[in-house]
Amino acid sequence: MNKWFDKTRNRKERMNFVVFWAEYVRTHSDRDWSRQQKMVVDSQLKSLMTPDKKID
Amino acid sequence: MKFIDRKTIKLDKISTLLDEFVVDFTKILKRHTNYVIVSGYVSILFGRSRATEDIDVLVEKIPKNKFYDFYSDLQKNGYWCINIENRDEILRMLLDGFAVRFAKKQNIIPNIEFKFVKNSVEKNAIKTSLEVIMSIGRMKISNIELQIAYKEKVLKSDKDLEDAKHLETVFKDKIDNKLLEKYRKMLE
Repeated sequence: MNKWFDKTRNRKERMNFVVFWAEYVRTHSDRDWSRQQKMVVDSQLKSLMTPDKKID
Repeated sequence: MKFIDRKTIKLDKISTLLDEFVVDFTKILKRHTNYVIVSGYVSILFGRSRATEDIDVLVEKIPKNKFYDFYSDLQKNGYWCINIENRDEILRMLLDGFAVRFAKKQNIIPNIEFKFVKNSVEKNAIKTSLEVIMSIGRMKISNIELQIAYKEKVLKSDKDLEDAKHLETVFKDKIDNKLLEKYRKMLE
């Protein structure tokens, strides 16, 4: 384990959020979750399309 | 989202730029051959909170003349092939089992990673595909059980495991668990 970054813990926390968000998607209307998703997807895509900016 | 029948899902989402790009491309593609969308975009279509730079599309092999018609149709609609321009060379790459990428002219991202089906799992993905209907159009995607198993057992990166978990959770009341287990065993 890296002194500055616990990869296993980070992976677990990410997965917890994935499940939390997926539950939200499952239990809310398409319009509700997709309004929020659109902000993330469109902004990430625009960043990818701009050569001087990169995202993980 | 709502299953209209076993092979059709109605999705009342506010479309993203990616959704619009995929609908635009598949509208052209379906005029020429059968296809299925697989991998990351399927999870994104159903709500995963991330983008992708490429959309994986598996296509049934088409004869030379039909491929020429398709490529010409793509060009007329503002697409280009990122790898190479010559239509014979594109077809040669595809027949040799490589993928080629198509994007809107002047762009590289987002792009369609396009390849001919070459094994039984990929053929099965086309045969058992689902149709998704949105207000902006329709598209064919791989069935959910196969997507989950393929991401868990074949691709296996952190991102793929998260995509699989997302789909499994979103569709937990609708998944055919016997089919999912069958795919998991088959792909191990």
